[in-house]
Formats: sequence, C-alpha cells, structure tokens
Amino acid sequence: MVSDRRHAAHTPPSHVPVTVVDVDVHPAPRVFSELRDHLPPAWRDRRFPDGVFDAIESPLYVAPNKAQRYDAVSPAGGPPCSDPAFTEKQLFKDAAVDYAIMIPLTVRPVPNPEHEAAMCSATNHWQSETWLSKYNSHDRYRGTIRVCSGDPDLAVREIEHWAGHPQFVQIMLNPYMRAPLGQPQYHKIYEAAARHGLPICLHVNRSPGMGLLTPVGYASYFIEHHALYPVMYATHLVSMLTEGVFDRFPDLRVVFVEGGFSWLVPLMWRLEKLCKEFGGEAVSMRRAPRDYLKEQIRFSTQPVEEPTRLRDIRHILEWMDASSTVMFSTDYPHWDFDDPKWALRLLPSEMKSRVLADNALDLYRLPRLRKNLGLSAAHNIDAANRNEAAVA
Amino acid sequence: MDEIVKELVEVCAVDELGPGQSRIVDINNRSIGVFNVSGNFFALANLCPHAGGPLCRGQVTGTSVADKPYAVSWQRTGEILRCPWHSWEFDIATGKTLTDPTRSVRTFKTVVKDGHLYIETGASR
Amino acid sequence: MTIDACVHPLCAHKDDLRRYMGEPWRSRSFPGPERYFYPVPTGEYVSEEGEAAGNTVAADPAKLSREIFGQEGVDKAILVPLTRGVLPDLDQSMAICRATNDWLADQWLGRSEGGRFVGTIRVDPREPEQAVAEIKRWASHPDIVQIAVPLQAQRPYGNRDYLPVWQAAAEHGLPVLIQSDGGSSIDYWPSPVGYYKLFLEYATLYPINFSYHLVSLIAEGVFDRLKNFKVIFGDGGADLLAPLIWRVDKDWRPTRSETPWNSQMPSHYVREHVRFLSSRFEGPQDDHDWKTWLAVSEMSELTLFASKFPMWQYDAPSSAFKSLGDKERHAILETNASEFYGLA
Repeated sequence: MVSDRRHAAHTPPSHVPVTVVDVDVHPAPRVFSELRDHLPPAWRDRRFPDGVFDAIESPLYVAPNKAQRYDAVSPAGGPPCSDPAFTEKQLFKDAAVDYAIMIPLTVRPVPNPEHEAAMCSATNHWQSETWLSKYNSHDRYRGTIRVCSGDPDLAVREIEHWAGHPQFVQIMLNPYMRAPLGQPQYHKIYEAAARHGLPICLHVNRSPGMGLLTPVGYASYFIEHHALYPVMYATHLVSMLTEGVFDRFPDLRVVFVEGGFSWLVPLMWRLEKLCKEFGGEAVSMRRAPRDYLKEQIRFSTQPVEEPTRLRDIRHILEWMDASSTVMFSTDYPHWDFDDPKWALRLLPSEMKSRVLADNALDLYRLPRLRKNLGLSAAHNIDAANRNEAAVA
Repeated sequence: MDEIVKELVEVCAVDELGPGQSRIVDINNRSIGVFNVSGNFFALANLCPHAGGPLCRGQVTGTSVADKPYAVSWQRTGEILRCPWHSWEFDIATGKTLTDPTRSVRTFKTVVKDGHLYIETGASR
Repeated sequence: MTIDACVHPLCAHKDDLRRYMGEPWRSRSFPGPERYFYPVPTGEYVSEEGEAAGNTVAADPAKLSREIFGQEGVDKAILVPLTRGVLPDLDQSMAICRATNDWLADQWLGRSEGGRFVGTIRVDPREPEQAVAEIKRWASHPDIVQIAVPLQAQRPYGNRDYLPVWQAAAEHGLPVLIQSDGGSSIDYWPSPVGYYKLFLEYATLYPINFSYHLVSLIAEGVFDRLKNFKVIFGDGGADLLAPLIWRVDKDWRPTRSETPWNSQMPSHYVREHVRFLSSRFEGPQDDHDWKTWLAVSEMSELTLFASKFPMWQYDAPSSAFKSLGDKERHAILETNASEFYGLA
C-alpha cells in the first residue's frame, strides 16, 4: 500500500501527543484459573464456583449479546478483551485510543465480605501480573484496585497493599450497596484514597439478589434496570455531598463511570434549591454543591445520552462544565461501545480535547506525551499521522 | 450537470454465496455487506447509521414479535441483521430498522447475471 | 383560568375517618397520614405569621375555599386525600380507601364557593378485585376526575398483577395519579441503595422513584394494551425525566426483542400518556436558562401546576413559574390540566 512504502524509511517518533484517553475498559481472564490461582490458599482450596469471577455472564438483566460487542471476539479465542493482541488492535488501532484505564468486572458481590475481598485481591494480583506488566510493554494500560466496598476495613487493607504500585491509578467501589456511599462507615476508604492520591470510581458489577431491589420492587426487564443506573449514582452523590465527604477529604476525587452524566444537571439544580431551605441539615457540607464539581467530581461519557434532538446534549455539557468534569470512555468490549470519532461529534469543538484526553490526563496524572513503544503483536500504529512537531 | 453512470461491480459467483451466507466487499472505497437470504441477494452499507459500527459484521438472525404483551413468537429467522455494536435490528431486505421511527442503512441494488452476482453502483462523471 | 392539580384536604381530627367505617375497621388501629421517616425540619405543613396553620385551613372546606379560590385566584382545584400507603393488611388498606372516598364526597365534593373542588378516588392497587369495585362505585360521580395510588409499592406498576385496576381506570376515562402516600408502612428502602439519612436527601431523591414505575409501565406494554390509559406522577420529577428517558430511548432499539409488544420509542408513550405535577424545586436557578431548559426537557408540555397546599412543598399559585413566558405559564397553569383531565 502506498502509505506503508512512503513511511518505511521513516523513523517513528519516540513520543506522541495523547489525543484519546479511554477511562473505561474491561479486561477479562482467558480462563477462570487465571484468577483462581491468585486467591489466597484458604480460598483457593474451597470448591466455590468460579461464576463469581465471570466478567462476561451477568446472571440477571442481561444486555444484548451478553453485554459484549459481537465483533470483539478474538480469532485466537477467549472472551472479549482477554487476548492482548486483539485488544490492542481494536482499542489502539481501530479506535485510536492512547491510554486505557482498565476496570476489571471480575468480582460480583457476595454476602461474605472476606470472600469478596479475596476475589478482589486475586483480581488485583492478576492485573498486576498481566495487563499492567506482561501485556503492558507499551505502557498504555493503567489499572483499578478492586476492593470489598461493603467492608471498609477490608477495603482499606487492600488499598494500602497496592497504593504504591505505579500502574494502579484508582480504586473501584461497587454502587450496589446497602447504604449510600457518603455515610461515615465508608469514610476510612476515602481517607486512604485521598492520602494516596488515588481517585475513587463507581462502576456496576452485578450480582443477583437484594442489590437489584428498587424502592418499588424488582424490575422485570433489562431496560428497566440499565436505564435507571443514574438513580443509584444520584443517591450516592447526594449522600457524599451532604455528608461532607468532599469537605473532609479535599484531595479526594470521585468518578462516576458508565452511568451517563446528563442527570447531574437537573439533580444539582433541585439539590441547590432545596439547600436554600433545608441545607442546615447537611452540617458537614460547607459550600454550595456545585462548588465541588470542578475540583472533585468526574463523569465518564459512555453511554452518551441520546436526546430526541441529539444536539440538545450540548446544553447539558455546557451546564455541567464538561470541559472540566467529563472524560471520554469507550466501555470496550461492551455492547454499547462508543467510538471516539462518532460519540463526540456533537461536542462543541472547544470541549473536545478536554473531554477526549485532558481531563483524564490531569486526573490520573498521565504523561501528555506518551512513549511510542511497540505493541505486543504486529499492529503498529502509523505514528506519522501524529503531530511530530510536538516532540521536543 | 454530471451524468450518473451505473456500474456493475462483481461480487462473486452466485454459488459462492449460498443461503444464509454473507460477505463484505470493498467497492470504490466503500465497505458493503452482501447477504443471501433464502436465495435472494441484498447489499447494505457496512456502516451503522446509529454510531458508525461495522453493521454487516453483525449477527444474522430472526427476532421476537408480539402483537400484545407477553404473547411472544420467534419469526423471520435469517432476515434480520443485528449491529455488532449496539444491537440495532435491521431488515436485511429493506435496510430499515425494525423499530420506529425508522432509521435506515444505505442499500445497494444487486443484479444476478450469467451465474454471477453484481452490485450496481452509481458514480458521477 | 388557573387549575390547581393538587390540594390535600385533611381530617380535622385523627379519628374523623372512623365515622365512615364499619366494624371491624372502625375500632382497629392504623397509623396517621404523616410520614414517620424523614420528618420535615420546618414542619410538615405550611404556616405563615399571624395566619392559621395550613393543616387547620385544609381541614375546613370553607377556609380552604377562601384560601385557594379567594386568596390565590384558583378556579378549579383537584383534591387529593391522603391514605396510608402500603399497609400490611390489604383489606384494612381498602377499608381506609373506601372511608376516605366517602368522607371526600360527603364533605368536600360539589361545593363551589368562588371556585370548584373536584376529586380523587383512592384505591389500593394490590387488591385488584376491591379496587376495581371501588372505581366502578365512583366512576360516574360528576366531580371525580381521577384515581390515586401510592408511589410506594412492592412491584413496579407495569407488573401484570395490576392490570385489572388500570383497565378499570382506562375504561372509565380516569387518569391514575401516582403519589407518595403514607409513610408509616411496609415500604422498601427509599433509594435503590439503602436508607439515606437526611430530609434533604429524601426531598432531593425520593420523587425520582417515579422513574421505576414509568419504565415498568412502558416496558410491560401497559400503554400499548390500554390506549387511553393516563398516568400522572404526583411528586414531580419532570426535571429528571429528560435525562432518564433519553437513556431509556437509547436502550430501546437494542432491546426491542425483549419487549417486542412496544411499537414506539419510550418517550413517545410519555408524551401521549404521562404528566407530572409541578414542584417549585425543579428546573434551573437562573431565569435565563429556563427557555433552553424548557426546549430540552419538554417540561412546559408535561407539567401540571400543583400548589400542594397545605404541605411543606407549597407553591403559591399567584407566584408560580414567574420565570416563564406567558404561553408556557398558561400551559402549566391551565391548559395542560384541562386537556389531560378533560375539564371544561
């Protein structure tokens, strides 16, 4: 092909400027033993089923095609996003992502917190030994520390274990909780996270059972459950605000992942109006709710809401200061994947680079010029298309 | 005014694409999926109008239909294409979504001549 | 003309309702209408300096008429009596509903002192047989304009067990008001993730629970089955509707085959079948954002003004929606309600 011949003698630059950071990618083990082998011995010896590790098969409220992109299965086999070479092709080449923040959905909550903590530990060891090292020769993946959200002591223990690891950039809490996340029993998690400079992200990882109960009973269909994730997130956010979590921990950052973002705008409006009359109850919240947004609260884009008039999303983005608060995500390899070229075409152009890269580069402290190292398979990106003049 | 010249571009021999089969071809820098649905040939742009996914790499299947709640039956096996990304359902024969309001993917005319399958494309001259 | 789509008449005395009950219900204990959890820090009812407390006014038809029709210039008000939410004993619950309906008709309906009170029939939708009988009992009463059921529930309202109740309402052309009721009953957590602590959280978040019922009604095909069934969410939520229904719309095409009886986009059913009572806590803070917000959210087409007198949320009709243009204000204060309820 013409472009290859022209570039054959061209030395690729050592660094390229980052244009896309993807803050929501879900790696899976090829086989469950990859995770099971990392369990502490006591847990490894118990013959519990491996289904709890299953990043793919959600038991209930199942998305189309078991929540996977139909074309994300590698020719080499294995579940979507388990083959590093194929993942690199689809993420780095096809979608032109520079950095990907990995959030493994390999721990579905269980009633025994020690068991859940053991699975979290196995997940974090697995990440450390695969996606963050062996599969990460290009240094473009970063990882998420899974913790047992329901037992703050166990969560803190896990945070302390991994906090120094340079490739872990955040901690995940599962929003399927029994009390809103602003309440005091969780504060030790935020203390540890803030102290270590690690953001907290919220992302769903579903079990059957009571976590699925809504205030008016159980839903019948997937659409009921999935479309209304924002009600969970809104509850946690309002709890965090009114309990003064952002005041007590000024270095804490919280990211709401994969729950949309448009809901924030009317929610903040109503909260602030109610604060005028009832704000006195929130004794620990010292500022107006909106004052915490720019510094401490973030939202990932996917799945971008689709108003009847698609362009209306621009108003939402302006109202929520998306230039500061919103970060792009693909949700690869999931069914409702957003491609960067398409998903943000409605964004005002002055916002694009902030949303596509800058806000995430700032939050996760990633280098703006990324090393242009080779990929694990022969899928080299054509770096000549990048702006080489940016390299010093 | 430019004249539109219709061109027949060959896809394959008819017996290379049997019922239930499909393939993706590149014609004039456009990726097009060609489908054999029960002996009839259809061609659709390999680009989902929703969010740019590779539509023709999706699953060819049937779908569930109900004229009243809960009374579901499975129909149209082999006639429906589900986008591999967001699972939008398209009627292969018409390129239209099963859902209203209708969204469509571009369709191309197929021609069978002398045992060969062609796609008819237009190019201005 | 101003239509106030929700005013709450109250019993003057705790046991007033018992006069409308036979035994064993008359002697049996049941909670009052007030909420046990999340009490209002400024008091459940409005009260102004030098004026009678709101709950006193709301317990007296003459006083309430003067307040609503005289002072505030309302022409027509829809009375929504309170019941007790999701009580454990279904028969007791329906007995309270029946007594409430009798009390409303006896003391409130048909009065017109400067304006007109119309009313609401209470039923417990968990008991379809008795609920349907009660709907039929009142359906032809000239002053009944709707049925009301609690927001609180143990299955979302699209669930097939409720169908006979919605069918009866639709057959008689009566919309169903879904509104928070009671609060000393066997409710689930007020949020999907447990109990919040503060009233501030409750006031911000609780009304958003309408969304669970709404998506359920759509997904279970209730609007496909009952073409003239109408629903109104009485705790507001029209502000959160837009971002949530955008997600539902987005999820619909991919998941159509799970609920193939739906023939239209979810938002289509909302425009055709669903309305929201207004709330003074919803919408932009800044006046200049309202025009854009109305265009984006469709709030001026979907909202019906409700004062909620004498409750803490009270929004005085004479000063409501002042940030809006005349056309939008007129829609919210009159035409949306007159069209939805078919009020002359």
